[in-house]
Amino acid sequence: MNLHNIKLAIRNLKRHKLYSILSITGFSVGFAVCIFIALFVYNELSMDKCFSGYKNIVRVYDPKENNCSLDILLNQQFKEKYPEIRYACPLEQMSDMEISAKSGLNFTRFTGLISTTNDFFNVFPVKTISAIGRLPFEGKESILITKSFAAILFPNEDPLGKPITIFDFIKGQVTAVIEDFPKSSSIQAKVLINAENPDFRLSQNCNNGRCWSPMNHFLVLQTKTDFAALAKKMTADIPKDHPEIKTIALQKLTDIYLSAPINGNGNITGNLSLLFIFLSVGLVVLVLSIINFLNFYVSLQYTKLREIGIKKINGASFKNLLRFSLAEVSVSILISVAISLVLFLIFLPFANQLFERNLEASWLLRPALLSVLILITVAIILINSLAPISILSRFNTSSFLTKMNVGGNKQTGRRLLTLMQFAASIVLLAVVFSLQKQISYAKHANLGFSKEQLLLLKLPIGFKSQDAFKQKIKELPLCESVSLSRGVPGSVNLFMGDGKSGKTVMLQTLYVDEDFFKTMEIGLKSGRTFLPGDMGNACIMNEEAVRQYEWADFEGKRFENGREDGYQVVGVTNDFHIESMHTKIKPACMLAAANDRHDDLRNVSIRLTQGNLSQQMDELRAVWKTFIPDEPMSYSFYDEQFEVMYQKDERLGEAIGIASVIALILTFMGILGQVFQISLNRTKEIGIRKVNGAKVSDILAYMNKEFLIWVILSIILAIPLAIYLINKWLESFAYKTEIGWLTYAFAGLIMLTTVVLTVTLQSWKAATKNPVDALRYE
Amino acid sequence: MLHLSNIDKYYDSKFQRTFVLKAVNMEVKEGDFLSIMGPSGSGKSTLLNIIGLLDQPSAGEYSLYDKSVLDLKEKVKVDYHRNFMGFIFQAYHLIEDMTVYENIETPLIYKGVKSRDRQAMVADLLDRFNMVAKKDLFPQQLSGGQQQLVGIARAIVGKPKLLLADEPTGNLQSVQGEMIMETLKTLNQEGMTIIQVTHNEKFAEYGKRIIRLEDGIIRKDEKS
Repeated sequence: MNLHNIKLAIRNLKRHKLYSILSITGFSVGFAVCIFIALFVYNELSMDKCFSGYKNIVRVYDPKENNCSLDILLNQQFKEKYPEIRYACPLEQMSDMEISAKSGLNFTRFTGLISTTNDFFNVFPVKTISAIGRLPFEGKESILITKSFAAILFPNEDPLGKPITIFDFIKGQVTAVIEDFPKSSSIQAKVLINAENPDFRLSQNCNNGRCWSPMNHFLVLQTKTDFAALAKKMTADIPKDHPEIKTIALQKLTDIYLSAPINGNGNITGNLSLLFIFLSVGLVVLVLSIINFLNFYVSLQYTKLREIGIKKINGASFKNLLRFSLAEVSVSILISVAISLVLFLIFLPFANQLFERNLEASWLLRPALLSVLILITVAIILINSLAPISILSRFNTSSFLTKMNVGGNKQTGRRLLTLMQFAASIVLLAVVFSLQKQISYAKHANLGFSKEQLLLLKLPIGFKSQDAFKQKIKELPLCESVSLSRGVPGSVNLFMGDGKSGKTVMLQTLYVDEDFFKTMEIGLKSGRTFLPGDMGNACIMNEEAVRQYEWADFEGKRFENGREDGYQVVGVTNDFHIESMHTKIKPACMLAAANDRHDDLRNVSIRLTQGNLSQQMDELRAVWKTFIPDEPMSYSFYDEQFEVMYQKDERLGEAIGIASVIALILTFMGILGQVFQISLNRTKEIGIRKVNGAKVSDILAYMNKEFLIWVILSIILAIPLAIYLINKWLESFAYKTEIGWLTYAFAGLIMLTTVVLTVTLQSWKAATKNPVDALRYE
Repeated sequence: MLHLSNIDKYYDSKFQRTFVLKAVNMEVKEGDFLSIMGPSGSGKSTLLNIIGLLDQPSAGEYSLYDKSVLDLKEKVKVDYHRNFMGFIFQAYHLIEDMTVYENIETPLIYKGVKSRDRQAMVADLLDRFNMVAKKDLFPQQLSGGQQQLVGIARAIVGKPKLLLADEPTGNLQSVQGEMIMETLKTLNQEGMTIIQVTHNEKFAEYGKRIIRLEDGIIRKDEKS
């Protein structure tokens, strides 16, 4: 019985080739997108679940101060005072910075440095591969490296016992090689240093003359510990000895990844809103493809009304028809699922690039994911086979056999589905166009300084001959101008407040030399640039700073940062961007660095002359080599540096762009199927119209008219939604371009063109048919 | 076996009621061969559809074996279609996606007959109609007369008591038409009750009894 149905279903597919190809490919694409999104969501939700006992691992933080960097000394207290705590480890991470590592002649840069103790391995079971002693950290100077990092820094050597220098000032020896961190861990590192050694801690906080090393604290609790009760107990104890801590709360390890980052967080963080965006875009595409499939399948049923009538007369019950419909839909859907799996495998590397994740095909076999996908498939099969049958069983049997175009015009439900398809496509298109417009605006906007032909060299920590280095570069023909500074547009990490004046304004602070403004081409609004006598005692502020200080005039004002003797304000620059367009320009202050304190100025900005870039780079490398023979030249271009700031936005644009192209294709196929069915249903009507003198163009116009109404309706529906979504996204930019009605009009126009083209192409056949053939039909 | 009394069928439009059938009274006995004749639009097909439970009368009584069959549930109707009656049509109404064999087999599948029994029953009929060689062809590969033979085979494979034929020869040349009528006659002689609707005076004569319809009213009911 069922075999019989399946045989017939396959025969049916072969007979209606156009329908089959359109519906199956459409659904395959939709389902492939669905698989990708499912995998992505699975990845995001299973973060940190690779650690056994993850349910009992928590991080301590202070919710009042929104801070999770707490005194390292707490570790001892955690271990001794609370029986609920099985293990505790202090952990400080440096995860967003390139760090140099040296051993003998070998040199490399890496990201991911952790300062911790042997307790780490109690909390996070990362296996030790080989070690000198019993424990991974043996001795104050001990440093651990991961297996893959060992292969880079010590190719073909045994790293154990070798000396290693991190950052120029952390000098130790490798005491153990450990496994790489699991990919789904939000803690990632290549090098671990021993936090027992105060010199191996990465930062220090001071308050009221008391200083401490801030650390993240991870705890493993006894099973069934009441988190809230424990946190309450800690809040009662800890602030007594640590006045900087107000309250204590515990955050689950698995919650860290998708939560808004707490200050002092070093874990990799995901992005909850990005997750929702991907999820909803994926759902939209899936729904569109289901609508598409349903549209095709229902219209196929309409062409087979007679067949259904015959079956009913021959004794087919509703159940029989449903079973056949199920078989038919299952065959199509299962073929689609198979194709989508192939598509998935083909595009997986591309998707990984887009998502910046390491999704693996084998995850599909994990029970959680597999069952979800099977459930979705079954649900889709049921929806698609029940809907058309319930529509069709409404009709009277004898009308199946006589009136051939039953329900040809009364398909409001299906038209509504089409309306949704149109609207979704328009929204996606409008969003993509707006995204692109804003990103291109952000990339090409005037930053207040000239970022073209501008190169940045980063000198290593500990380098001392800045002036000689600058002099050497100045002499090169490639150099139009060169400047030393601490902090440059794109990366300023120093904030200073004015201790003396009435208002506290935090200023982004740069130490610069006298050539800075000339090299960067930052325009002065008033005042003057630095003169030789200004060095060490003058500063220049930006307009925003003057605005925030509410100064009528900068003349005679001083900036007292409390460290040096204060700086006389000698000029005001135009506002220029230090950060991306996402953030508003902040008040900034350029301090004239004292001539004897150039050691801190590790950024060398060089304005290049027009010329052969690779030759210029070679010349620069030669100079670098004479000063810093051990390290390769570290450099970047300003324009690239600023473009990188919009990578996330661009990736989002790319993802939505792909989704909108798929949506457009699906919609296109949907219209094709509908027009096909309509022209089939109305062959006779078209024939009659032609016999009565209708021209081909009249018939095309007549066929188009019906769809145009729906397109216009969908535009009206889509535009408010698109405007809402775009404005939501634009909120993340402090500086934004006007999107303008043209963008929306363009999205609508594309939809309109697609529809008109499809309808015209498809109905051309029906319109040019000889009416005699059409009317002979029964 | 079949009793119609005072059957009306009408369509209401805004201002008027159009009667397709009016006060039709009719009795059909087991073993009868009834021809319904009449010009286009006289209500023949509607009458046949009502008899075949494909359409509902607007008023009147209809009973099979003294059991009213008006307002039946879908399930019971399906049962009548499966076990009691078979249909043949002017346009044959074969399923184009199915081979001759599969077309004939269809009602048996819905009846739930086992695969082996089905094979035997279909083979019997193919043999009887000399179509064994054509069993794997599709309908469009056959001549009209052959298609109608398949239609008959499909209608009778489930061994119904009543065969309803809606202009079975309407699309056929006269030679093929005669062949079909001979087949029906033989079936009737074997005991099957047949009701046919026809335009053709000559083919109507095959029936034992002719009813003449005009504007929805029975004008004549005579033995032939």
